[in-house]
Amino acid sequence: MDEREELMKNLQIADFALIDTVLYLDTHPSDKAALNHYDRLKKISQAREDEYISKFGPLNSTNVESSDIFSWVNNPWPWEVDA
Amino acid sequence: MWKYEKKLEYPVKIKNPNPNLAKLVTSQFGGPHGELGASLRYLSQRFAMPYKEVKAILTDIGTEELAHMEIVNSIVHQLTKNLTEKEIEASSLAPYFMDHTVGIYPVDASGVPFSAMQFASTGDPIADLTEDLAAEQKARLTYDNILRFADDPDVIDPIRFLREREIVHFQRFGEALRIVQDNLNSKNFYAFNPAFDKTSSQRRDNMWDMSNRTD
Repeated sequence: MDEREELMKNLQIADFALIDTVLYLDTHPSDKAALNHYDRLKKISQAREDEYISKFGPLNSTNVESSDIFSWVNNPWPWEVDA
Repeated sequence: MWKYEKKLEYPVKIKNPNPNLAKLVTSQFGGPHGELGASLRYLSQRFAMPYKEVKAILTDIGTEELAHMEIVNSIVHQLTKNLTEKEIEASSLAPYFMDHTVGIYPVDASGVPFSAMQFASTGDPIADLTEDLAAEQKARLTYDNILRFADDPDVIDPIRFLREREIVHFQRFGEALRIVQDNLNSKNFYAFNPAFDKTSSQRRDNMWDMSNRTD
């Protein structure tokens, strides 16, 4: 696993924990312990996302760092085996 | 993956309900030229697309179509709010109301449910993009037909926005088709599928081999 794949895997782990916590919070919006958990995961996810983007390019079409080329179009796309 | 944003791409604020107009507008959700079919069509076609610029445009237009689906459904929802049973019974929405009350369900203007037959994904980039160009024109003409019957400025305004977007998408798909063709042998625009056939000359060899097989 190269560095890009490693960072992506760690981001997927953090994001999934956040996604799952959000579902719980949707039905328990005033659960203090879950809210604290959400805050902690949000920070971890954000840090991992920032690191990934700074090294390997944008994860969505509106967070492209301005440069000579719109790197959003670059390969690989998520459904490809080398992603 | 997708992340939902809690906002419409273009605002919808309709003051007066109108069940007859709602029945017509809902076709742009579940009808043959609607936003549900459009989004699923482009997002499905991406997997067979070999060129990065076109993967990007299919992703981004497919995503915008999801936002348009939400706008169309918001229009239908607001047009069917606070209606009395008598008003519904007297309107063309009564048959829809039988099964769906005023919930959102994908049907065309005559009540035929959405069918996956409406979102063509062929695995052939030239066929797919040619389909997409036609799809954008068909969506544009459906919005034009809605505008023939709509007399409420609260409805006309977002419908005009959606209509304009079809024209922009048509332009971008035209450029996308040009990108695909620029990557092909100029003599083979229509005889070669870059998502499946390796090179046009290899394809010709394969066909020649098959026609000359003796086993």
